[in-house]
Amino acid sequence: MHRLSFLTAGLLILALTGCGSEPLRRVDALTTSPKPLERPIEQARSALAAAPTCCSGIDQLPYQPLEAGFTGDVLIDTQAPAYSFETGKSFFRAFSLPAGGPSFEIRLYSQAGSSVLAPNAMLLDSRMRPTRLLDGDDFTYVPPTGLKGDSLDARIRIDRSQPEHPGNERYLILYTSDAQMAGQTVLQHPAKAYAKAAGNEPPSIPDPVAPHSPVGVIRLVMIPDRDANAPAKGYVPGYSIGQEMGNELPGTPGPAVLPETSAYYRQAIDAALTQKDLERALRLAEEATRVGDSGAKKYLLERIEIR
Amino acid sequence: MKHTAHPLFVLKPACLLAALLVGGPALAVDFHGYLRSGVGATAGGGDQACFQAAGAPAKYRLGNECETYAEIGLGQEVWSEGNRSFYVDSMIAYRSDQGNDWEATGTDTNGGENNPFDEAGTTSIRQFNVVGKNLIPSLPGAAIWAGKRYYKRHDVHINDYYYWDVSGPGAGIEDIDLGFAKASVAWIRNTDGDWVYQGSGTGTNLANDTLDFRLAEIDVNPGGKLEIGYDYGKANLTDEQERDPGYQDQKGHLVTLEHTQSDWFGGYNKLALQYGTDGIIGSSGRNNTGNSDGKMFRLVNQGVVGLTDNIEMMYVQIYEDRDFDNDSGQTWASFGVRPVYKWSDVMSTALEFGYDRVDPQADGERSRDLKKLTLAQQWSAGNSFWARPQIRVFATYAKWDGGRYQAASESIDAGDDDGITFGVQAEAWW
Repeated sequence: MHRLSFLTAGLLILALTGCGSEPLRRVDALTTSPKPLERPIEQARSALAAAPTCCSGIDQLPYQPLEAGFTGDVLIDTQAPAYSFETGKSFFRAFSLPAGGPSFEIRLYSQAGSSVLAPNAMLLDSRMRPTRLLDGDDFTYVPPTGLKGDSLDARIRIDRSQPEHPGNERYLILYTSDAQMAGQTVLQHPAKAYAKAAGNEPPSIPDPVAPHSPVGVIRLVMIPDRDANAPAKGYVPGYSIGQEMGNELPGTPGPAVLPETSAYYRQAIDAALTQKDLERALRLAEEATRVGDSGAKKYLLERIEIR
Repeated sequence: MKHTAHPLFVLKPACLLAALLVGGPALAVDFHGYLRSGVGATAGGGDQACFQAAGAPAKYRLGNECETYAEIGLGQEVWSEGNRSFYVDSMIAYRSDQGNDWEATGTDTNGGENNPFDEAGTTSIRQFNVVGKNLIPSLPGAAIWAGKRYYKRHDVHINDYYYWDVSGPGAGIEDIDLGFAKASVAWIRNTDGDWVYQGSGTGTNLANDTLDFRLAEIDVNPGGKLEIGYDYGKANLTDEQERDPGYQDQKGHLVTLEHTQSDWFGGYNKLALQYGTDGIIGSSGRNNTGNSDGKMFRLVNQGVVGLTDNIEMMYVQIYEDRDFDNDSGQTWASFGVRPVYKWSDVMSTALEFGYDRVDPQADGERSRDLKKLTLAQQWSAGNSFWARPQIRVFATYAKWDGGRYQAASESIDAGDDDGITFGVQAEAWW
């Protein structure tokens, strides 16, 4: 059933995006890592400089829907749309995330070869407000293991414990920044990887260096919480009680206070005022308000005005 | 209960992949290891034969390995604070004849009732050690360690030959930064069998100590690094062993010079020169008290080069002269190449040619040689020469001079001077 859903998700994405640039090449889960995009960096840089900005705002980006459980390759090449982010102009791919369903984790692997795209990731809530920005600190180099090649990896947990919450993260943008493009990643030499695995002394040779490119391939894997091992970065939007930024709650009225109680507080306020203990009078009025005597504060103010 | 209802979630491809892909913070244990295994046969019938020149310390391995061998290593950084840390490492190795499903690693002959091929496995405790980094403030960057360990082993991959390897139970300080070099000192144990008092009495073990000194990462030329090593091996005798007038207490010295050149035809080259005496002759640095006096010279030159974008090649030349005063030595010359043509990301064709020649020192003993040629179609994760895991379908032809091939199989008849094998083998390291 899972395989089938991958397939449908993949086909759906393909159908939605068209076959022109084929940004999401569907891969089987057990195939090897995608081949890193080996394109001359200078060529990609000039293509980026020449690329028109696609949109006037973040909310205008072409968001492609991702189905739950999607696994595939995000191709950020010179055919990808470009946008002037605050961190610099970049090719990007933008996605809308499944709204409901279980919470899940997004795993990103930016494939490294002679060059690598050092990714930035931006997450936005349902109102298109950024919630998280991932950058070079969050994408770390992981040497090849098993079927995985050299890559810069990050894991992002997306919370869906409150399905209708407007603060839920609904959009993901993958791009890169001027700061990232200025850097480079030192990869592990495969001969050293062998030596390390076999417990031998690695040869004294320099490791290959992958300069950061404006283009690349990022493998994207979405895994439901149940199957993901552990969240890397949890984000749970605060549950709104409508009082943020000084907003008042409509509030539910309490049960009416008994006349005896009301009379007691007024009497006590009078006594306090007689002793010129204004602070005590004020505390009594507040206490009376809390138990439901909404007239106590007014009563006190009137008494003060008379004097 | 929802979780227990899905214990098999790792069997779903995506989840299995995810589990394999991510050795993230949640799985702090490093799982590393090696395996090779497969199935093969000899043309003309019988189990796969593996070809090695008699007396040669190594054989060219592609399509020429008849056993299953695996190493399972589990390690973890158990403590770290700033740059100080402790790492605990372990490794168990397994070997079997690759003949049956059930290959027990213990011996339980069951009064001879069991099929001996059901007991063709062995287990070895190879590594259990602790490495403490940056614990000594006056030696920043250095690590102290103790325990059984693979200690800075230098090997040739294509013939599985370890020319500098003193691994064993030991202790030491490594990677002391001297500015111009990294220095390492170690004390490592090897035991070379039982000693029996003047040919009779009860045997006791013969503990050898190797003191190993290395200066590595010395810059000598652009892209070139030099490593200098000195090993002193000596038996650590008990009073009784010491008093034995009939016992030969041999010591040995080994000096190693190794130059590594990067930017070398799209790859690198490693040239090692070794000079050894007496107890260390013929070994990778471990002492052998029973040796005769003598001297040894050894040259190992190897490299991996990228000839074109699609062709990578490993090569090696070895010359070893063991010159014993009692004429029990030999010279060994070896040459091998393994070019690999990459058809795609995952598929390649490898050819391996290896030649070994052994000339005994004693007069009247004939020299022998063995040539081996293997063609293999390979599928691997990535297209680097070092990309693994790999599955290869191979055919091997070997030819040797009459009868002096070191039989690893009953499939080659006595007196034959060539053989063909074929099979499928998997190799992985991680």
